[in-house]
Amino acid sequence: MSNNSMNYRSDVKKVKGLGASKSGFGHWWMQRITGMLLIPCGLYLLISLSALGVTGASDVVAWMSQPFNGIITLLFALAASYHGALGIQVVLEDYVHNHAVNLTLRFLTMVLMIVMMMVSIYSVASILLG
Amino acid sequence: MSKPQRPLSPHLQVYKPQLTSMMSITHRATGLFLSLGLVIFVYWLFSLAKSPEMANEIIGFVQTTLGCVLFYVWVFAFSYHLCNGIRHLFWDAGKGYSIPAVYRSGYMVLVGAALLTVLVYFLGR
Repeated sequence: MSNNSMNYRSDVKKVKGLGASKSGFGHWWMQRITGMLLIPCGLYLLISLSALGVTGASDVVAWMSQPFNGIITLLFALAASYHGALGIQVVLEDYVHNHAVNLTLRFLTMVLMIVMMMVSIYSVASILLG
Repeated sequence: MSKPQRPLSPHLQVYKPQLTSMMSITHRATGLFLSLGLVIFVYWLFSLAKSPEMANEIIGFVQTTLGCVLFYVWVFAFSYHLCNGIRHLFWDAGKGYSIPAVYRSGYMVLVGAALLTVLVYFLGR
């Protein structure tokens, strides 16, 4: 054991590089990965749709039927659902201190995320495949 | 175990509101607000695929005064969260931590978010 400031961590913990929380890097990293993906996709979607001059659903469907637009829309919806669910999880961890309520809300967040992803894939695929 | 009614950290009641702290909590608030908007966005995607009448109703709502205000508030929240997210990515890369830099990037985010919202407004006209 070294005599420096970290000497109350066990050798195994030091080797594994895990703190008291055991996990969390993956969560933090995916939040950044999805965030970086959302910058170009979100800007493209925002600018394209506002420049489209939407008067009705048919305009948007015609725009989204083009493969590039459809794929970017789907990528945005999937990355945003994941990014949002990760963010809400952090907010729940910070503010909801009742463990049972916390776990329930986190579970519901994940269920909603999965449903939103499935609906997005189904919708964009339907539009793309006519 | 007893639960004494002590004030909890971070003792917000004794802090003067600052640009830094206000922008930090706004990032979180806009994130939650955008998540709600995302549910509507995904529902709208579904209606585009399944029922054009329903999709047109949602488009029609955005054209009413209330819908229009909500839409632009959402666009501003989106722009703010996007710009401030880029600021966070710079911090993650270890850049921009000095107090003047934090304030400079903070003002840049506010201006950037406003400009992006105005751009969407003029593109949509």
